[in-house]
Amino acid sequence: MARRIVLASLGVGALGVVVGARVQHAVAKFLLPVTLHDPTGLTDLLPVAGRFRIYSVTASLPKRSTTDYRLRVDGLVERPLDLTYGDVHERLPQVALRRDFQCVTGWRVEGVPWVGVALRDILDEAGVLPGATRVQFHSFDGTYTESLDLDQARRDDVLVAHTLEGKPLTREHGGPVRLYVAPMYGYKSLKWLDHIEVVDQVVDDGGYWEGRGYDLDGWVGRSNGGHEAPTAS
Amino acid sequence: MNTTLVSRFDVLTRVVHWSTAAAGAVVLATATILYVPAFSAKIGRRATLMEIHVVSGLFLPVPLLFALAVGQSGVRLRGDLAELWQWTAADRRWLRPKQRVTPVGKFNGGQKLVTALFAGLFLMQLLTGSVMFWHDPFSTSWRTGATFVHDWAYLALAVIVIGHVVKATQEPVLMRSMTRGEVPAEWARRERPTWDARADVVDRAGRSAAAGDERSTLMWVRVVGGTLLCLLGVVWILQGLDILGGSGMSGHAVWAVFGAVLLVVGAMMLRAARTARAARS
Repeated sequence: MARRIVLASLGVGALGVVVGARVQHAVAKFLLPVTLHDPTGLTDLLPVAGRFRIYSVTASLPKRSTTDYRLRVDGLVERPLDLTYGDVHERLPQVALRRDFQCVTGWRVEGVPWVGVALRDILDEAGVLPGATRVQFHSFDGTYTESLDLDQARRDDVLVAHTLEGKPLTREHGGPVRLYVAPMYGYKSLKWLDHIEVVDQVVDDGGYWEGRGYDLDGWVGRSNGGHEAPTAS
Repeated sequence: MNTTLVSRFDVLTRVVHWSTAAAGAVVLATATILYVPAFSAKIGRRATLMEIHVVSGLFLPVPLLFALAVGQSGVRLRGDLAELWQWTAADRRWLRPKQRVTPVGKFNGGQKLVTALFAGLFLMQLLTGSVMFWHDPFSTSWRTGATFVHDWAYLALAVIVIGHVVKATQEPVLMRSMTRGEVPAEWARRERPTWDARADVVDRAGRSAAAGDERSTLMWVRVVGGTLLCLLGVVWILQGLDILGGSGMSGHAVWAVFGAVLLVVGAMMLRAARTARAARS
């Protein structure tokens, strides 16, 4: 009996590793209408619900209102910018995207709708100077940093996002404004975006999680040991 | 009133229990913070919590493996493990409350079942947690599957641990046997009729020496466990000293310390296996 329980656990564990993603996909699709409209948020706790985990690397969630919000863009640019929430939310061209959100350790939220501004449009407004190679992002939590090379930063599916699942980004999810790098693992999508700095080299390991062993180029499925196609819409 | 006390668990067994319990409490607490969005948001510090969670999780089996390595003084604990592993007709009947009159030995069916579940779920978490932490060799789909299993097993473990603690607090005699080691002789006769408390203390060493089967299993556990611990210890030391890169542990000196501890325990297990083999041949 004891032997059977131990062996069964190992078997179920191994089987779950192989087919768990498919099971979760099936159940999450069925559960999504429930979890999205559950006022208690308790269904979010079910491991099959496929909902967001809240990651923050500092002791408390940083807070900034939309009226106080400023997005500083500087470094190797012609015109340093100080964008307001209104600039990001209304003035600049709006882009909507629906993509899976995939964490490097494995949790995944499927088909997440985002709205924001293409990072490329912000870089163009500032005017990137010759010699620049990378873009460094800083969070107003004071610790979290990330970076992309210029080719990555200019992709269509890299957003400075302000809306998630039809609602303004909450503090938990990195609001009022965060980065969303659709083709890469979640750690590249910096939360609480405060400052965009155009640079000519990899600064501070290229980012907080990169300094802890994660890849600088965090392509889903093609980095951190992975080898499949990136997340599709 | 004067009550005679008999020993149920020796010091080593209790030290193993409470150090495992302490590590388990840390694992569950950090898991809860990492898993429940409201707590994650409140407490933050993700990278630090993740490191504590992984270190304490990997530490969980170390006290028990250490006890398996220390030769003669671990003989009562090993006897308990052998008994927990053996499933009898009485245990099966014990799980059906209406038939719960059959004589029970040192452990009842429920206790054996929970022990097996703890062992099985621990191995499940070790397996899936390894895929999540050392994720590089695994596909994104496998990582998602591993996270899925790890989450469910976490919920199961939380329920079992709470049940275990509630049961223990409800039965002061059992709790006392794990804190002070002793139970009233009268309780042992009534609740554990087929447990020979005297033989447990006095004869177990002799019986254990005679049981060849148990000894060869033990030797196997020591050789495999000792080798694994030594290998893991060396890898952690190299990662902690940043000689081996590519992991979240690289360059964190605390891992070198843990690696050294594992290496010592692993070496002790291998030595115990060699001594046992020499004694037999």
